[in-house]
Amino acid sequence: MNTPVVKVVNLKKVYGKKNEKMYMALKKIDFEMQQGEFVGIMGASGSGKTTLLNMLSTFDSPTSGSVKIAGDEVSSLKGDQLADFRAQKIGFIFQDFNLIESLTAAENIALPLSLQSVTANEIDKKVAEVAQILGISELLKNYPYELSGGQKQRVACARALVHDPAILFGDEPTGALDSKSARELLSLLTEINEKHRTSILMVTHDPFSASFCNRILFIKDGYISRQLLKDKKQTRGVFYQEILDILGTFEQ
Amino acid sequence: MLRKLAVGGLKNRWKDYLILLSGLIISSAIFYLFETLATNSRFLQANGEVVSFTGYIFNFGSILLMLITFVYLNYANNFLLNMRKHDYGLFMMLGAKKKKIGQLVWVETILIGILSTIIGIALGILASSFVPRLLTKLLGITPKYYEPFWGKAILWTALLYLGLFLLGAILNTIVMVRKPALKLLKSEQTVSKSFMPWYLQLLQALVGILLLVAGYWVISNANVLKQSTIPASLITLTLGSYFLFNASIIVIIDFLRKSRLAKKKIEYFYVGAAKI
Repeated sequence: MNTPVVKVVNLKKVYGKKNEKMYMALKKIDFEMQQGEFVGIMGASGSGKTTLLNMLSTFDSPTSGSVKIAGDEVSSLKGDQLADFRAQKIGFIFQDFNLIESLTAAENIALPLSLQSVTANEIDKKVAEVAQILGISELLKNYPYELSGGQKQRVACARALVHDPAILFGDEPTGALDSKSARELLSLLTEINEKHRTSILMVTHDPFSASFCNRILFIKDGYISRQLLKDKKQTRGVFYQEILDILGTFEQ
Repeated sequence: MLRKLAVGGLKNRWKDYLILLSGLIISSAIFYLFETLATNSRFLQANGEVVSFTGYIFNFGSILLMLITFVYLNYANNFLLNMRKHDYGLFMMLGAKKKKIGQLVWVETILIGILSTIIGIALGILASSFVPRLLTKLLGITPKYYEPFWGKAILWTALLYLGLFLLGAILNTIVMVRKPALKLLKSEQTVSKSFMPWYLQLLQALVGILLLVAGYWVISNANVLKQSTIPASLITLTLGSYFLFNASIIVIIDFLRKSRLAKKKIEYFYVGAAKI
């Protein structure tokens, strides 16, 4: 059996230093994600979903428990190892794109590679490839201020994928987009997931975005309280309805 | 690429940097001007007692200026650091090694330092060419041997400023490399509050005012302390201004932020810059 892309065991996160008021954001989280899955994490604000994403993407360290990404124990990585791990294994899309305004789209996409001192030839090749997949080959010479929100997010997405990461994380990737661009981006993510078998895990509070996933984890008060699997035969519309139903009972 | 990132950062936020840079340029120009007077001993000796006494004052003046520069550069450096936190955080999240981040911070700080020092000295040379005329007007003498283009002054200004920027670059590098990426990335969203309790703030303000009053009193009654007037006023005035500024700045800025001006966003940037 393959190693799971994500394996979380007994994860706990407590915020607040000694002497300060403690806040337990995650109480006990266990889950696994196989390669090629498209997983959504849902929950109300304050439920701990962003905290969980930060732990998974190595941006924050757990108080206790284990997080393994592609077989590596994340909390044991330090310094340059951690930098290399981020640059090779992880792609991340932010809600607010986080493109560097002074760089062109191509240079933005190339950032993870340039920071790792990959050769210029190799960079050009990879950027062209990933731009092709995301349909932004025409935009490569543009600066971020010349792009629409949807285009920016596609550039950001290309940057997250250029180094062929083991997993793509998204933090409300459609949060800053209008509904048309959001739908386009989500279709694109689905396509990438299906065609290239890229594992995707995104946090969202929007049931429409979540309906593009294969599996949804609902987080409440620091626990995974429920899981919803999409049936292969199910259409997205039916799955969307199911999510809405769960959210309806969830709030009570 | 590294260079492009560093220079791109400067280019992209040139308005913010312009304010930072102009302050630094003016400060280094004034320092240069002082040094042309204070370090030119031939000029000081050849122009009678009034001028040589002025030289003595200018020596203290340049020490005072050095202190002010130190504090100002500290603020400027913080400003620089805060402007770039977000980008550096992002680089770290994308997998930049600490060494690379260190190099970037280093290059940027030193670049700003060299730029402001060179322009500052040039401006200082220009400004000091008006000094002879000013002396004639104020003291009624035609100064001999005054040199607007004075090697020693250039040396001292360059040494002080580049030295301070070097220090700043080292500090910046340490700060950036030690902070976790997520904190840097989100730093723009978190508001820094004053952690000073109100009574300490009040105490600082009182001490500041007291020192300022004492300083000006000492100057206006020079016969009391005689020779020590200048060093005494130097210490009291610097410390006094610092305390008063430290204690009142947050109160003033909060007031400005809530005022109508801030709501119109006209002063938004200046206020934000000052808060840093």
